[in-house]
Amino acid sequence: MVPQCFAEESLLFEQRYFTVPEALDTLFPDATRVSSESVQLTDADIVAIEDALGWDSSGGAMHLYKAYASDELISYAIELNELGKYFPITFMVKVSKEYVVEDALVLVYREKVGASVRKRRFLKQFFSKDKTHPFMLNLDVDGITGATISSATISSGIKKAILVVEQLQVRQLKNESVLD
Amino acid sequence: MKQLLSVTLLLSVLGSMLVAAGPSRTFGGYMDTEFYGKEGDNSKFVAHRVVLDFASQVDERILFNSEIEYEYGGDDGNDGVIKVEKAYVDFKLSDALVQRSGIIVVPFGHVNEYHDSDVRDTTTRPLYAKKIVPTTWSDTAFGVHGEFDRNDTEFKYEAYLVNGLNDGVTLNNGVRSARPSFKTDNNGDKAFVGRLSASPKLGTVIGTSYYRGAYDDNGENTLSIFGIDGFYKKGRYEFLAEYATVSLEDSGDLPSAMNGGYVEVRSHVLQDFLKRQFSYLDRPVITLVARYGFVDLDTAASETINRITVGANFRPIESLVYKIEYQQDEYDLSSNNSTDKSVNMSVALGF
Repeated sequence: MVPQCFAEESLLFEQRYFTVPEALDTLFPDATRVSSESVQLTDADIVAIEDALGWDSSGGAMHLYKAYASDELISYAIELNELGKYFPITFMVKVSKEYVVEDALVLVYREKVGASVRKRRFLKQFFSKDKTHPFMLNLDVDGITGATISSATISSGIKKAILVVEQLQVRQLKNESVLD
Repeated sequence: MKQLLSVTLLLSVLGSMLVAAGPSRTFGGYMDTEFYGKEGDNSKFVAHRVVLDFASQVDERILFNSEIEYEYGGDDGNDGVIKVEKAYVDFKLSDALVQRSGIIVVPFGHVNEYHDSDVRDTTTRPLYAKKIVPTTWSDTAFGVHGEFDRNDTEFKYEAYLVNGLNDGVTLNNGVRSARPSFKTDNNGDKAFVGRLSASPKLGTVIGTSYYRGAYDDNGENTLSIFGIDGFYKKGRYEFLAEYATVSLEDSGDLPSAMNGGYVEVRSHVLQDFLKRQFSYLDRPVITLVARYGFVDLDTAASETINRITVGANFRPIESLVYKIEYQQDEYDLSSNNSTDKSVNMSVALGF
């Protein structure tokens, strides 16, 4: 849990760095096609993800993107809204078919401090990590001084992205197997 | 009565905000409670700080930010004080150029900027941050700040005109008693304070700070402070060091030069163990801290105090910290050649 004393929602704190189409273009420059689907985690999904994460996680609707090159799936991306100190941070994580982080972008940042978490020099430390990494500040992740909570939010959110993509694919494979 | 009025005013403002449309606002802060056990002295609990932080983004480019501190309960009959640590408006022209006016936390060194109790890893601050760079050091200011990147290096700067430090410098207390009033200036001279830092990679910051302004009532003699600081972080380890030197022109009975600094090493440990023990906590961590610091309050006569601090703290969550440390102060002064030993503890919460 993060502390949350009082905050009024407003567009004024929003700093928008990418729209969704811009983010997809940036993450998938070689894709010939990107599909988008709105996904809803089930209670069983959330339990499985929380067990793997080691901390509580919100469910809710989220967008999963699949990038194809000549009809071959090349990578996934998932858009998340995870709570920072006061407001949610909107970011997109690119995950390989082997469930390894390939890239990440902050689309919208809403706190008055800590926007440095959007920078490549912070985000690139997550690239090549998979779910076996702890994703913990001061262990395998370096936070930003003065933006500790936002750093932790992005860190735990990226691990969650890996697990959500994997969970959704596992669920899909099971469903296909039942249909077979 | 003053407390009652201020609390009532605060509640009425917050109440009106709950139904007001328009600017986005945040309200938070931090608090701490301390325990001091000094050898040869009565141990004591200290209700040190309740700090309320209120910010309002009144326009896309205009931010109001403030911090109001209640120390020792805020009742002046009980040694308490209520003070505004910062209350400024930022007018953002770009990330690289933001105009700031109002009461600011003076941009000098690392501790003064990151002074919040829930952020710091020890109960007490280094002597350097008490007598040489008098944290929390605020002043009324007009100036600019900003940040920009070159390749992967992040640069930040701040530059302000302020009322400046006054003639309250003493041999015992260093620069601490020279902190300015928000109402008056003891001379017409405006002081300059600025800071430039560069971060060539994540977790590495080097910075330099400079202050210069007349300190005497006639505005004829200058007090200047030059400081450097460095921070390095990799995985569970952090290293922090600061040093500053003070020069006074025509100081009379006062020392003409002082300096001070410290080095601090931290290690974050037992994350995996704590996570297994407290599975309901997201990211519990213990941090070990060791710090050596000194101040020389008159370099001509070597009036030195050395402080060694060794401690640990436990964070069940990032913003709640339980601290304990052993502290030893060795006085090598013309008036005092003793050693103070104490065990200090505190709890601090950011909210």
